[in-house]
Amino acid sequence: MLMTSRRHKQAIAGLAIGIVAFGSAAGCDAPLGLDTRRSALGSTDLVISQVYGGGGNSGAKYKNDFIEIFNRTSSAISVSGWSVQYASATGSGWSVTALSGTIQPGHYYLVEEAAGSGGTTSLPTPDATGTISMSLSSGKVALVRNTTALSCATGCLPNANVADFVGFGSSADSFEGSGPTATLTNTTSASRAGAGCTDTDNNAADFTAGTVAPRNSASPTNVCGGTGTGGTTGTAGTTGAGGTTGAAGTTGAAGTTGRAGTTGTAGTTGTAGTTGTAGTGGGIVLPSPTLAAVHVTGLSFGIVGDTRPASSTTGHYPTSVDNIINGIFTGLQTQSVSFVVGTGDYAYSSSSAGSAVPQYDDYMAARAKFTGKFLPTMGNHECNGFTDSNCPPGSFTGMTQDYVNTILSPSTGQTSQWFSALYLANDGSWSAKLIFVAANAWNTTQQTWLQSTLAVKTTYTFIVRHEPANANTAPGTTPSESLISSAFTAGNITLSLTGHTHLVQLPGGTQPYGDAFGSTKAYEIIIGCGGAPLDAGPDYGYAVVTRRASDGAIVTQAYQSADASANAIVPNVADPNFRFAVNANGSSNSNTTLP
Amino acid sequence: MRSPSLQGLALLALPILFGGACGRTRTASAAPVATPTPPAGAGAGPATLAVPRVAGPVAIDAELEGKKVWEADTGATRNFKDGAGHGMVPYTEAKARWGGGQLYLMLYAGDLDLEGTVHEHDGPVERDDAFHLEFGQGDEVRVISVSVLGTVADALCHPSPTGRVCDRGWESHARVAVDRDGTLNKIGDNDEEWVVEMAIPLEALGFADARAGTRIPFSVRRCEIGHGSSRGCGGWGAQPRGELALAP
Repeated sequence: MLMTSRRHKQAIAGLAIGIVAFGSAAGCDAPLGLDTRRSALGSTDLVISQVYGGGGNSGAKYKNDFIEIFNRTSSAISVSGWSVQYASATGSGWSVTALSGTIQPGHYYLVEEAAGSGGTTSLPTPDATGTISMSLSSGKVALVRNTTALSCATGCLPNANVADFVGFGSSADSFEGSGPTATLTNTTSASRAGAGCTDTDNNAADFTAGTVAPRNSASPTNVCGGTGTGGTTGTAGTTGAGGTTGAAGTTGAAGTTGRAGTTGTAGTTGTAGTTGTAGTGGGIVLPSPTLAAVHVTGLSFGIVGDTRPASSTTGHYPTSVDNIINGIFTGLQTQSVSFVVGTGDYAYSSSSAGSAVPQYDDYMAARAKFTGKFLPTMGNHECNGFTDSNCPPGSFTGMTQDYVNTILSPSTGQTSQWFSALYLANDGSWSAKLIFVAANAWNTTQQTWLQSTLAVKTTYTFIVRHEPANANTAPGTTPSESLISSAFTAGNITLSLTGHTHLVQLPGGTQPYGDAFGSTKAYEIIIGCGGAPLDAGPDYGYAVVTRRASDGAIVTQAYQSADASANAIVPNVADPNFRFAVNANGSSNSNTTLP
Repeated sequence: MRSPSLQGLALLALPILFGGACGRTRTASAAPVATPTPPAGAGAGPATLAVPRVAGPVAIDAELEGKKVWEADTGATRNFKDGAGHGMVPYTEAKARWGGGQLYLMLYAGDLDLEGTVHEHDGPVERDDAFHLEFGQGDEVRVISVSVLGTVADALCHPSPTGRVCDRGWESHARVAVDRDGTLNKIGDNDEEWVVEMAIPLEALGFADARAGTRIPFSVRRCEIGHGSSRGCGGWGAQPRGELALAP
């Protein structure tokens, strides 16, 4: 499903040999003109994405030097028999570290080099290990298709065996393009722009000196986007995104929003654009099942929590619940939200076919009061009601099938209980994915899908799951939480939205109305007050999540729509005890001003 | 997780006093007299629950999913009221049915943390998450408490100058089943609720000849126990005493 626009560098080996010969003769003053022709050589689109030589030095965080490689293509590439090589800024003696294995598309490959006596932190698990002691400030690094040491000082390019080349620091005498990268320090590395995607064959332009952040093969996948040109071709988008809509593909505009889209020059193939999906996603492609990408001006959506009545009622909703859920969706219609997510448990019923339908119908009738899109996640009451129940494909109860037929499919066009949704800024400034996890429909297929979906980078990532982390009797809670927690640690989770418990709870387990019973996950909130019997708090209601354009922070505000006796609160009142803000990476933001 | 448990009849009743008062033990006396239904529009009176009649016996197993007898919203207290007259949190309600000489009750308790340790019949169930039912009023009140464990403590109580005096030698012969959706005595793992389904012989309540139109003074109260102490109480029909009006 990865859909990237690949650059194809033409192989003109014969000419290259001649140029090498000329380059060698021309000496140190000649490399500029020669190296800019390096792009005429064969290339695999494996690139050196980061170089760091200050490891183990005074003031360094990391103990080792490293060279990081990135696969910017949509195909796996073997590096067995390849090497990374290093020479000093003006030297011609190259040290070699052999590589092995395969780099998956969008993945990184970390080569650990020599350690120093300083530093406090080991690198992430390296994919290859060498002993090269690199200069902290200037030098030359090459990715070579064999393990034969280079012998050049200047004029190292073009060379058909050199897949990529970086001269770092101002004194490096060989480089791609107009000049080497900036000079590095013990606390800065040279990183390729676009998280490795950008390659204009100009070290000076493609690299910036900044925070050292090594990535290995286990790091989140970075899918390089299609180019602007490719995006505009998206007319074939009818076949994209699972073939369900394709309409978004016809816009193609999103191609300009992709990371690689900013480079523009790569837009020669348009390959990604022809599929439409890449066009709509700006190069961001979420694994199936996923909904067609949607372009919006701003990001704002509602959260509706558990609605199922007390177990005493298994027919239609009692009047009280009907009042509450109608009030909630009526209230949401007055908010400037483009869609609403549901955190599960829409009915209380037996698991036999047809039993839940009256309440599902009641829910959808209330939901119709909101004219935007509705994206539900599945709760334990969409299986058989037991908290440890599991209803993945092949194990449906009648109630599960009724949920799919009555709520899920009409709302999303999906029949899979787990799916994702992608929202993209019209101006290309941000992207957001919502991942709907079904912990009561857990199997290895969902686990693999979740892992893959989390690996796709977006500006914001929201998890929508019924159970909070500590409601771990659901079979998928703990395994999904393990993946989510790791993603949060890596800065790739914005917020996890849950329900199950019939109250509201702030991040970190702060319960504004009584004791804290829930999770202490810093990125998790509970919105479970959609009409189900209240466990705590004075009111039923919903919440609204909004991106603040001024700084990109996400502000969440709860609203009260009915009191504990199910009497409507009109108009809905912002809950003064429930408003908070986080940054895109889930960290707290002290400014809770609403956009 | 739900774990239904069916509790048997009380086998041993100890003469313990409710309310902490000291005094003699007493036994049940003659049945109260049924009172007629007041005419419509007679003015404000006690809260009344019209109790639907069921055709056949109700299985007491707390397996409520799909059990038609409890589907209708009639005969329901709706959410209990707290001391300030607001809806109780956590949500709590009761439903009643009658037929075949039995009064059937379904008691629903939303609960984040199920807490219960008392297994002994007539033990101090007030320490646990529990419902407290009172039938009758004035001179003779039958009290039945049932906990999240299904433990029953029942007694016949009378007023006295020093407070209510209760005889736990009285037996309600209530059959009780509890469905728990959560884990007992494990704070912090987000329990959901527990539900009691019970049948009480009307004869034991002093209404052996109950029929359509019979009104039974009744109240029900629940205190949510958290971290070993009460976090809030609510009820229905406490003041003035409510009534169960047996429907045709």
